[in-house]
Amino acid sequence: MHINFKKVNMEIPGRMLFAFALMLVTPIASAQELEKIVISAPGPRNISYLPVDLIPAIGADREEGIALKILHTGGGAVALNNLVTRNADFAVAGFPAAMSLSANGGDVVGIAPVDDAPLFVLMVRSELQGQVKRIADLRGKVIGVNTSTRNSKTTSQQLAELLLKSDGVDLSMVRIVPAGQSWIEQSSLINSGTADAVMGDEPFASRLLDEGKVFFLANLADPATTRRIAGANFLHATLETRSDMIRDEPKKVEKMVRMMVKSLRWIAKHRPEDVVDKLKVTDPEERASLLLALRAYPRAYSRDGKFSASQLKETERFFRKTSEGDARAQSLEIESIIDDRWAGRSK
Amino acid sequence: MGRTEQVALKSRSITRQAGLRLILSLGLFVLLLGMSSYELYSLALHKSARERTEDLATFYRARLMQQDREWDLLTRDFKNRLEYTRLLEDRETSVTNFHAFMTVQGINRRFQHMLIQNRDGDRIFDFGNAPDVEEVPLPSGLESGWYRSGGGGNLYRVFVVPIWLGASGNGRMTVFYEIDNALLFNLATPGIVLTAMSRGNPIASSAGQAGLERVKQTADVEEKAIPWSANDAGNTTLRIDAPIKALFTRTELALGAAAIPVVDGLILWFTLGFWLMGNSRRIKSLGGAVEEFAANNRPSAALEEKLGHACGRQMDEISEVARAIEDMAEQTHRLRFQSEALLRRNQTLMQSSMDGIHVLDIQGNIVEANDAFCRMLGYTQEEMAGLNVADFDAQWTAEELQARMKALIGKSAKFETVHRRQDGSLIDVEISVNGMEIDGQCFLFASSHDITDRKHAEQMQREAERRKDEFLAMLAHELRNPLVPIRNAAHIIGRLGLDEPRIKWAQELIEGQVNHLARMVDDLLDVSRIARGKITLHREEIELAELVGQLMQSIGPLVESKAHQLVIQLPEQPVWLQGDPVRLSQVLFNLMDNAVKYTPEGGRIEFAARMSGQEVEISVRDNGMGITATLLPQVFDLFQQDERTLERAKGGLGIGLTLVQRLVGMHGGRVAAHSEGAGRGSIFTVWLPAKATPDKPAVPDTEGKSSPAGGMRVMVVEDDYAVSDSTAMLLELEGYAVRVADTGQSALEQIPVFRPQVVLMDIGLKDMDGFETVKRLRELPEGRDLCVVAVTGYADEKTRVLALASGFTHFMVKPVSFDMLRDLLAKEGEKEKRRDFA
Repeated sequence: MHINFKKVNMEIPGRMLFAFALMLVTPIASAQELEKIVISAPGPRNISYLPVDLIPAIGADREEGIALKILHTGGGAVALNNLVTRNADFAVAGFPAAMSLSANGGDVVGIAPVDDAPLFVLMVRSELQGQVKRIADLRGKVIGVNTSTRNSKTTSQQLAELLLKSDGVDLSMVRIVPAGQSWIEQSSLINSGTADAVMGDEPFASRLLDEGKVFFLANLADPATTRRIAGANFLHATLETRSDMIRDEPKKVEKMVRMMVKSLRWIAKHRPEDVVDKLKVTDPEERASLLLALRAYPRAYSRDGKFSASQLKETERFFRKTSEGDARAQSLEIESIIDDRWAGRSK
Repeated sequence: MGRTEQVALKSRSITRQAGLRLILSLGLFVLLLGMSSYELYSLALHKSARERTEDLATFYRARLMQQDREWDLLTRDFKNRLEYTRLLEDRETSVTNFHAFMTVQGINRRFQHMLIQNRDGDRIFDFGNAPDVEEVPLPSGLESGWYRSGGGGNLYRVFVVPIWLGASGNGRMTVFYEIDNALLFNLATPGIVLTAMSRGNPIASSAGQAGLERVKQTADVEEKAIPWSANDAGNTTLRIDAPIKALFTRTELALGAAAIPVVDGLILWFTLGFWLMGNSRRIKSLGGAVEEFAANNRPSAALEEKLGHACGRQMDEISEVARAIEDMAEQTHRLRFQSEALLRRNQTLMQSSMDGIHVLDIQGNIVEANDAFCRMLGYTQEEMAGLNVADFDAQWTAEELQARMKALIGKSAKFETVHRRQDGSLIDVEISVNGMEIDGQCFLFASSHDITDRKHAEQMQREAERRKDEFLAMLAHELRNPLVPIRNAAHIIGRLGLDEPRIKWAQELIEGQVNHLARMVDDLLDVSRIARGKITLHREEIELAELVGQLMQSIGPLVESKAHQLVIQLPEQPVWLQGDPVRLSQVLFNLMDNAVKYTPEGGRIEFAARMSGQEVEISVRDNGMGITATLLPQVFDLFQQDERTLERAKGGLGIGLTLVQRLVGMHGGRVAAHSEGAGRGSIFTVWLPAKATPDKPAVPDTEGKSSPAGGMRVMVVEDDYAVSDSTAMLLELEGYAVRVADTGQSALEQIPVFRPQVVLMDIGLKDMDGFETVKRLRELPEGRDLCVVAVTGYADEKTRVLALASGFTHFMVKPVSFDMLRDLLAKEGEKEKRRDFA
């Protein structure tokens, strides 16, 4: 007896199932909306905060399913204020300023380092080059410093006061005026003569220097300066958020840290020109100054996005020094406002 | 299980049931109360929250107005500062200086954007961080308004002020204040979330991005929207989200939440507390009522008042118990009254009773005794109280009394005993006793009646009876004794064979009258014995025909003497009776004798017998004088005779029919008399139990009826010489060898010599009576098997039994029928022959 076995072709049903599954999945995927994250940082194109501008430029946000909105401010204090007042979910500002805010009741937690070295320059109008040779010569002068509220101090402010004190200049002997952290603000103060000296940021300081408008009285990138300042290698620009964000939306925090780390690693792997190109800086002078600064400070940014234990110690040391007389600031432990669960920590 | 335990069990059971029901009811009540309280609390909380939200709205309206005022002042202040610098008047002024001024002024922290235009609307200066600001669509003349950047972007509060531009005159300065999260964050009070809404869309929130993304409010958040400004037609509003936790302090919420159980508890406490207090007072009144009742045992005003309090105004278990107590009090009072009355009656009865009433405990101690009992035994009440029944009962020992008393528990009995009085004299008492258990203790309630006099009277009566019996026996004996020699003499005359007809007539007349006289004596004695129940039937099976044959032998001469025609009709089949042959013969003889006597000469007498079921019906019919209707009902009464009998023509004592009726009754039968009246004859019918076949087959009588004496030796022991001589002569005429002894001792001496085969011995001998003589005779070898016949005038049963017990072989009553004596001697002669032959 002969039996005929009929072979069943399984390929057609398999394809049909795949097509059906695709049909189901496709509209779901297309319907997914990007999650919105608001980050506030000084800028735009302040060299210390370039990694923030670079995140959407390199598409790191979309890779995480995030639509990142950057609220640029005139200074880190405003950025921190945006964070605290819910205008932003995250902020990037100087960590000593964040510590000052925290010591005064602000809810701020550092979750990832951005800078590796503080890029501050105390620059003086060129017209005063004969009169001002050293910091002590700034007595009776008007100094532009990025300031904050009455209760907290920006990093620039802390640094300026430290520099002045280091050379024996009492704060009552100088007039401090708000300076801001944008090119327009800092350059206008110098160019208009409104301020005699400015605690400037890069690349604005280098650009003014290049234009011959200022000379550098103190540069934190200069070892001669840092020798006089305790904790001069403090952690400056830091990714910060609030504790309620960490508690309520840890996934968002994780994604934000991951985006920041991607941006830092991207910078570490690329040339300054690539960075500038990616930021699509069209103004030649601005482009030139950025390239100048980036080349001048090759270790401006953290390369791995991890907190450095030694740098944190430096930062605490710096903050203690700059907040002498402030009991609440002196009692603040830096570890209490650091959460490194996403960024990690190195030596 | 004891009563207490049962009560306890029942109590627990009721308590458990009540507890379970209370728990269930309370649980349900608390649950419902809790739910309703929670709902009420929620309503109150939300109402308060709404009120507080309204207050908040009022507060935020003020804050918004204040904010607008601040912005307006800030705008005007900055305008003044700008005008003071006169930077705007010189169109050639360096933008750098302007920016420096703006930087030093910290403008970027004051507002978002500033736009300065000339009167033609051309932009003179544009400063700020809002790059999307285009034309501000504010109508001219308005100082403030709203601007929302294109594409649903940011929302700005806009203030417009005129500003001096120098040669070109006044321009206008427009300042943009952004409505952002920070603004609302700073406006918001702790816990409150403010959201700026533009045409229904959320623009900014004090809670940041999370606040904007929130879709739906929860029930715990009160929501209120207020217009931001009056001139915006409500397009821009401020939504206030006020969580209840933020509206109230923790203390307020805790107090509010705690108020639920507290209020519930208070409600419960008041509800249950008042109820329990009320019921507690009622139960207390109930307890007081019980105490009052226990103290007085009768209804009183205080009891009524307490029960009234306990009843209250509602019908419930307590009031039911109160009413039950009230009923119980009345009932107890009534019962107590009745009991006291009954007790008084009983005590009166007890004390007034002639009988000696006394109560004993189970040990026999006197518990209570009435005066009659004390008097009966000669004790005072006090002395009686210390006595035990064993102290005065003279019939039984203490152990016997204990046993009898225990046996009487739960029973009643009546018996006689003897009590010993205090003076030692004895009295006969009849006691009725009831033994009963009261509250676990056993008591004997005894009523003693002194029967000493009665017992004495009974003794006297018994003595009189005894004397009467003795007299009757003596009378019969004395009457019969003379008959014996008369009958013997008549019989001797007959045996001598004298042919003179007149001698023959005289001899028969003497024999007939002797027989008649003997029967009258027998009847008289029988009636007496029957009346005293002293006749015993000696039952045996007897064939009716045999009885009739004997009857005819005895009655035949009488019938012939009156020339009556006698007709006898008997059943063809034998009829067997179970009865005493002597007494049955007596019955039939008396009936026939009656018929013969009361039927005139030449009359007709019919004797008929027939079986009727299990009975034989025997009738004696005559055509004689009959019985009057008046006499007929009493015809069987003792000494009852017709009037004519007064003439004594027919003789008789009037006891024959009475004997018939009594003897037939003793045999289980009945008798009836019937007569059509005087002169129309009479019928006497007797029904006796009978059978067609005997229980034991009849043994043919093989013994000779009356064989010749053949020299048979007979001794006659008789102290009456007339009797002994006539008897000896008669026996010698019949061929017997006869020896006479006149005393017992003489008989005992002669018997070993004479060696009689039969001894005819009188009982009433002079030296020793017949009983003693026969006893001694039986001790002699010659007298051991000797046939000794008691021949006595004492025909009573007692004498007969005593005679047979003393050793007599037969018992015959004087005057003995010579035929019967001859038959007896013949039978004994046959026995003697068989013994000799054996």
